[in-house]
Amino acid sequence: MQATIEQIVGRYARFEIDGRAQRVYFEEAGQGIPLVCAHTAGSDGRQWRHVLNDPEITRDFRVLAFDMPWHGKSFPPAGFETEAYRLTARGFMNIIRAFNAALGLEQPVFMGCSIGGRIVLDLAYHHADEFRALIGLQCSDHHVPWYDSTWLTRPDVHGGEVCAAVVSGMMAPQSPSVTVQETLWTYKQSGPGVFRGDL
Amino acid sequence: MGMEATPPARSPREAALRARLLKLAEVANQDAALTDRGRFVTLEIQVVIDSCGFFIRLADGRVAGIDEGPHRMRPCAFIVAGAAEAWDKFWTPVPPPWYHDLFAMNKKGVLTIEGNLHPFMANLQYFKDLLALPRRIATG
Repeated sequence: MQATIEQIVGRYARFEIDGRAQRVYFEEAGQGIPLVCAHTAGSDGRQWRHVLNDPEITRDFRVLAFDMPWHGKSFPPAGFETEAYRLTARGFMNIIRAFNAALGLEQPVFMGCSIGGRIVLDLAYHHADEFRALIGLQCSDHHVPWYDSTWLTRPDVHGGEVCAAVVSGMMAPQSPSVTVQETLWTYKQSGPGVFRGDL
Repeated sequence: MGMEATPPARSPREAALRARLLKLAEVANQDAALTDRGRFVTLEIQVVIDSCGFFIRLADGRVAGIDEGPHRMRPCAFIVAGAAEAWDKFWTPVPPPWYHDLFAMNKKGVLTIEGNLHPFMANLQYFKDLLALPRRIATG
């Protein structure tokens, strides 16, 4: 059987974020207006696979989906083993802006989901002139932890299993089972403490 | 001294919910993926519908038995409690928003989960799926 080769191309970019060397994996497809996509907490850029494979979008947009450091195929920075991962709004903005600068993207559209959606308000407030549009999906202006998130990273509970099980309740019961399970798989593959560190 | 009698259901809806929960073993034990996911779960939990407790004995992920309460002071690992209205919505085939998931109901304040939460969190998907199974059990 002949393979179907998708139009998505994945590459690594090496650049600094906040003075630390990073090797960031990203996937892209299409041409035209740059559209930078940021994934949710504890997941990776695979979340954008259907956008990257949508010819109606990639006809006019150069879609780029990166794995944040610590996520997906991007490594944590050197020395990570002695620190607890903790994302801040400022740090998240710096990742996005460093990615845009490193790839020479001028005034891209930025689209993010969940934490990636929440950050659009910070980007709009602090750096609106660097973007031509900001799109927040499943976002909110402020998030208050409502349960004890230490359950997400402790040695006697499987982090991948519990993170995915938590997230399973954030998808509508009408969602197709195949895509639900694919999405949960990325959470099961997330590194220890990463989902919690993103929240 | 005999066991205290189970209080009568206060509504036809509550009676129907109780009847569905009591059939949990039939559905759960035929679900190989579920029982495999819960293969390390051997304990007893209590599910409360309104004021009536159901003690569900789990052995290697299978439902070994269900005892209708009250059975006061009977130990169990943890208790999942909600009003009949909440369980009724949770057990519809396509539940409304906020009633589709144990965490969502807990966040909304219509379901409590109390006790030793370690086995609950260590087997979270198992317990979410197990307690959602009455969706597959017909009313009446």
